[in-house]
Amino acid sequence: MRVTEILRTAIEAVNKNKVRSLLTMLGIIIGVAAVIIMVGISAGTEATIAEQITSLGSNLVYVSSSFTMGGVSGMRGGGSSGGLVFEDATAISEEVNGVAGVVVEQTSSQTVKYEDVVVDEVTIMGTTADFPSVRDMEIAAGRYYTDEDVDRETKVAVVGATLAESLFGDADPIGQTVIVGTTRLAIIGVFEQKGLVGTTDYDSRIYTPISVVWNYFSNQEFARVMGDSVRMIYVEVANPEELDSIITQISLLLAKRHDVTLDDADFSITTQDDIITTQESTTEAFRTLLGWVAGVSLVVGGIGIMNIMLVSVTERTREIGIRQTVGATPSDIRWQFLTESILLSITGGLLGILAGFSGAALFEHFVGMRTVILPESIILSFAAATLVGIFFGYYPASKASQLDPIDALRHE
Amino acid sequence: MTKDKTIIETQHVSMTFGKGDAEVHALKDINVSIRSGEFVAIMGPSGSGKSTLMNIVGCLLRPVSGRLILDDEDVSDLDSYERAILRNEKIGFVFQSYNLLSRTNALRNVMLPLMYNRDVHYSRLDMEEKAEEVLVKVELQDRLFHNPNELSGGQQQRVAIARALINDPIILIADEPTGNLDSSSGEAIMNMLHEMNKEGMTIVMVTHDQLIADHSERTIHLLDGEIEHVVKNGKNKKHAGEAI
Repeated sequence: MRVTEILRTAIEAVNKNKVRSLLTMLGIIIGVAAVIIMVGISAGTEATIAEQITSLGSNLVYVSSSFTMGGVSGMRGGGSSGGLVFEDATAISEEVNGVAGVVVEQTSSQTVKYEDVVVDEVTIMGTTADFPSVRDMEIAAGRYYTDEDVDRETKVAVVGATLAESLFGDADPIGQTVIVGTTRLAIIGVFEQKGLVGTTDYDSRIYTPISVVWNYFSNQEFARVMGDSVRMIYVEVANPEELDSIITQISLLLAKRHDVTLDDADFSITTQDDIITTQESTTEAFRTLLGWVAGVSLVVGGIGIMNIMLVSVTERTREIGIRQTVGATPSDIRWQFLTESILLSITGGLLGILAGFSGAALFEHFVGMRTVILPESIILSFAAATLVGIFFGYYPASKASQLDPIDALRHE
Repeated sequence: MTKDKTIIETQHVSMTFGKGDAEVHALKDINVSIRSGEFVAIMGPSGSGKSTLMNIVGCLLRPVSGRLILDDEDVSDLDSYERAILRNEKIGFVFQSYNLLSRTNALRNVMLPLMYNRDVHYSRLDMEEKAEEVLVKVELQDRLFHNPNELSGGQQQRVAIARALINDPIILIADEPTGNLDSSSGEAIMNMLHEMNKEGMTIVMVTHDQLIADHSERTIHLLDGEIEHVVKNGKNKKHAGEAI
């Protein structure tokens, strides 16, 4: 029997039992759609995270103090170092070539009061004047503080959008005074809404010159011995191609300043890419898991096809007998049923892709989670569906082909 | 085709079903030869082995022992694949219960053997043309697109005859072709078989109805798996156990 005739016969058989065919395909449809939607959601999440991280400023190198095997960093080398200090940042900006900007950050957690409103545990970000440009933060109203403010320890502050809202409501925050801890700070600016970045909410923080944090919100004893400590140094690189060389320069410089070897450095240097890669490997593992779970539903769909095909073979035993009598060989019969199950799974796969696309769109629209449809998820799930059709269609088909013509004809 | 040429011959064909105590000897050492263009009826009560003999002659069943010679070829040892091709090319079947594909129109039913034809690859159009031609021959030109459930018994049987004829077989095997029909449609079917026989078709018909058997040139009576006697042209001639 020619391929076209086999195909036509299969299409006719599928068409004759539309409802049953649809039910048979349902498992495959759901399986394929599940793979596409699940992978789409995790890819969407990943893309969002990557965008958020890059949105914090491009070409950034993060230098942070780290713990070493020997205990808390900076406790060695005769007490010459207490983790990262402000002078480290100054040294980087002066001695490393190709640095566009250096920003330091020191944080503290304080209660913020404005008139009757009290907000507990607000993160106070002490930074320098370059912070908004290095971290890609936009000022919505007022201004950011200047280098002069940092030098003079001017008691001013810029608030994040969310915090501004909860403190001042509809009132204009500029020119107001808030009490942070026990210190009064004048509000000079408000940031544009930034949104959540990973788990960090930049909008509910308050930003003030780092010198203010050192003087009013830090342990003074520590500073006298160790120098003004910073939590993190952000280094903006002028040319991304020099990134590697700059990282090397910073490492060598800091190792020398802290009197440690690179092998047990008390600081760590990461880049935007490092963070994105870490995020990606987490979401990728998650995605693989989701993919497998959805893949299992494909196999279940395949078993559904096998069930129905087995029932179908029994039901159509007489038809098989008639075909055998007029000259269908065992392989003709096997191909007929195999083609039918492959046709069912391929059609199911196509419908599943359609359902996957619309499901992802619905998910995005109603749940608000971003989805990114990956071509490989489509190809993979479709190929899997086809293979499932062949694999689970083979047994019923070969069972049909082995029927004895006389027994088959007598079957009622 | 010359009338004297032997087209089917069974040599010492035996058939058993089951094993041990349950073993049933359906056929015992059957020697039959049928000439080209002959119209032969096989008669006998149920359990006499007539259906088994028909299935063996139709290459649906392989005998336990003995040889089957079809068209000068020993087909006793063919496997299921080769027998399928043989049935497709050389044998036409007509059954008591018509055995048409349900929910499939007359034209498609008649086309079925063409689809499995391995000698000639017909195009869809050729198949439809050829099927229509044969359906016209059995006077069903205005029922081409009717499904079996929309046809009378006699019409269904005529579709079955058309299907049996479409691959130009060398022999037509009819199993109780009028068994499910009223007498007038039965008569029409028998006339049709006579017409075909006159045109040279070899027909082997199984029946338990003496009136139907009388249509044949020769009637082989089976009893308990053995040839009881053979009636030729209405006159008894006993040839039990011998080659006929």
